[in-house]
Amino acid sequence: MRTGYKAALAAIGLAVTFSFGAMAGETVRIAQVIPLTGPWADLGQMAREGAKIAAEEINAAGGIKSLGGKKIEVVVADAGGSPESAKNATQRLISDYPDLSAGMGAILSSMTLAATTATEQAGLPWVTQSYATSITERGLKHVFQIVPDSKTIAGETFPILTKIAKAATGKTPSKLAIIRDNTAASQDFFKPMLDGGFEKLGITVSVDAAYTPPLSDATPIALKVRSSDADLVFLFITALPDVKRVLEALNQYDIKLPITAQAATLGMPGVAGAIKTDALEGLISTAGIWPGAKQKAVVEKFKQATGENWMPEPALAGYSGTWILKEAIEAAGSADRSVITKALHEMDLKDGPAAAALPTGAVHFDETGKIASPTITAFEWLNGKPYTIYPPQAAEADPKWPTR
Amino acid sequence: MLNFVQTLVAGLLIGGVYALVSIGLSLILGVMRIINFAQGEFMMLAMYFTYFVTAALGVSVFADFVGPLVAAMLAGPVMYIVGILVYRVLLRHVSGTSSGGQDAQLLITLGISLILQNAALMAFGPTAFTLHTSLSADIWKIGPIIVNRALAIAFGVSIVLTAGFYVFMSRFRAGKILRACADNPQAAVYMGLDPHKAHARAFGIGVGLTAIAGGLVATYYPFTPYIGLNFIVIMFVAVVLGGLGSTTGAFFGGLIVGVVQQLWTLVMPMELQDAGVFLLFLLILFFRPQGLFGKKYV
Repeated sequence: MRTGYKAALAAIGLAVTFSFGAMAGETVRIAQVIPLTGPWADLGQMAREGAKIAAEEINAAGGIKSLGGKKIEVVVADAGGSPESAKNATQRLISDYPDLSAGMGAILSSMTLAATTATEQAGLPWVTQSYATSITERGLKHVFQIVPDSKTIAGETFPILTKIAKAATGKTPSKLAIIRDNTAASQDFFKPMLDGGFEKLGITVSVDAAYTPPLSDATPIALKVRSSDADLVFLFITALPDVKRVLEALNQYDIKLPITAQAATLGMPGVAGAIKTDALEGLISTAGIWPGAKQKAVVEKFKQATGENWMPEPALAGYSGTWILKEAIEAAGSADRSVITKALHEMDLKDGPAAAALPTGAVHFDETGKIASPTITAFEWLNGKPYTIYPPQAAEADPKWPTR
Repeated sequence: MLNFVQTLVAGLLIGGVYALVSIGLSLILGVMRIINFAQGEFMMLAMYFTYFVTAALGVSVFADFVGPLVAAMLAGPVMYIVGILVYRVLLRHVSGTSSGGQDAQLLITLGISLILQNAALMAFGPTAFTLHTSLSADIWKIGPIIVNRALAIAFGVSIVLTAGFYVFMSRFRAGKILRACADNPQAAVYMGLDPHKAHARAFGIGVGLTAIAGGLVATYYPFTPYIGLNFIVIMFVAVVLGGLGSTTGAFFGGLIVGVVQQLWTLVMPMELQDAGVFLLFLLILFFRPQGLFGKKYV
């Protein structure tokens, strides 16, 4: 609802980019490529708010000390609604701002895969919160993934869910009904699981309802689940209207199975208004980077700045990405791209705002650019709000196995 | 068997809404010879209109479906006026077969579409809006068959409006004038009719019908400024399937699209749901290029 004036200008094409942080004088410029128009604009808007809070904190604390207190300036470009538009926006940003030192983005994995082909060519160090495993498995030297990749999230999600189920009910679910869209992130997530991952965990797939979004009606999905012997429903749905239709259909067809998910969409503030809270109650979702007890201070700042009731995943990604880039520039003592890339490869932070912003509590990348020792997070909808339930040290509430 | 009947019912209900959405586009195409790429965006505006009017009316004052329904019906006349204004300001010079301005038509309607999308983004932001009504979450049970209340009401209104529109076009003078101007604009001029007036009216009615459908869709579907993109392809498929410019054809085209889209999932993977629709579309174009209800021109 709170679309900024500048974002609106970007939306109508009068300005492709805008910036915040320090606006003039001696600054170090970093890029943020995010969707501000198109179907995923609300995710981009949240990421922008997170980066804005981080830039304000950095500049208020004296900027980048190793560069004589230079302020940080975040130049934002609209990635639009497709990989092509994300790549074009990134290329244009790189040519319009030759003094860019580093960058982050672009929310959706498919967009990040496209944008990073341009950043790699320009030697621009780039941090991303996108999940796709392939982002850091293409031999790129300048791309750093600050969240667990899809393979890791998929591998950890189901053991976590079965553990919660076992603790609550004494039984582990073993027959899964998967409801998913066929976006790149979803395919990346399920591929290793369907290629033997579920088998290793003793889980059989009773229903695999993959659809091409947007979903016209969820009746066929609900009927498939109702006719199956599944004892757990698992959602991987990117778009909010689809989530609403699926959850409502499962309710309408009286499907009493516990519902779990892996979806940033399910943690977005808009969900609470769109879906009746009793349909959401008890729904557990894993996430790559969900704020927990350690991020309480930034969550409060975010709530004050935006008026939202909680800080969703993209906002924390924008926040932590900005801080990680600041620390890299600080360690490099230079605004030069190659020196910053080297600093990111050598980064080993265990304290400070950048480390505290991540669930891992540390920032260190392996040789491919993946975050070392990745920790996945999970939240559960309880009384109309998502609460962190995993990892235990970050939990705000005890997990309850969803009963319907 | 039960699953088949349940899926068929779901397809018919969805198809009824597609039908109403598509009739508006078909009328504009039939009378004005304009391919209106902005039809989805007019629908989107109607959804926001329905949202705000429902909020103003207060759903708790009435039964929970009355507020959204009244708001959706009001969207029709309001968008009729918007449609007439858009016609007078932007489309007047490019409508009709004699204008020869198909490139201009495409550019103008695409331009309107982009401007409306981005204006809505500025005004309402990218977050999805949802009508605060329990309509979409509630059901009616007819024996073992489950019927979604929002979809059933939308279907019912679509059928009534379509029947009303049919009577208007066949029995009323204003409807007959629209048909005359569509069939032979030159002869209509000789008979003292004003095609521009007819075109303005057709555009207004076309936008108004789609707007009411949009208001009904808003009762069960969260929407953003980009919602029109989800429906515009379906609209074009229904219109071409039924026969270009035939409003009866658009009605049945919409129904067929809804039914095929849902029944297809019983035999093929859901990922290929729309592929079923397009396969049927290609088959009909191959065997009956003029569409199901279109006239064959020699």
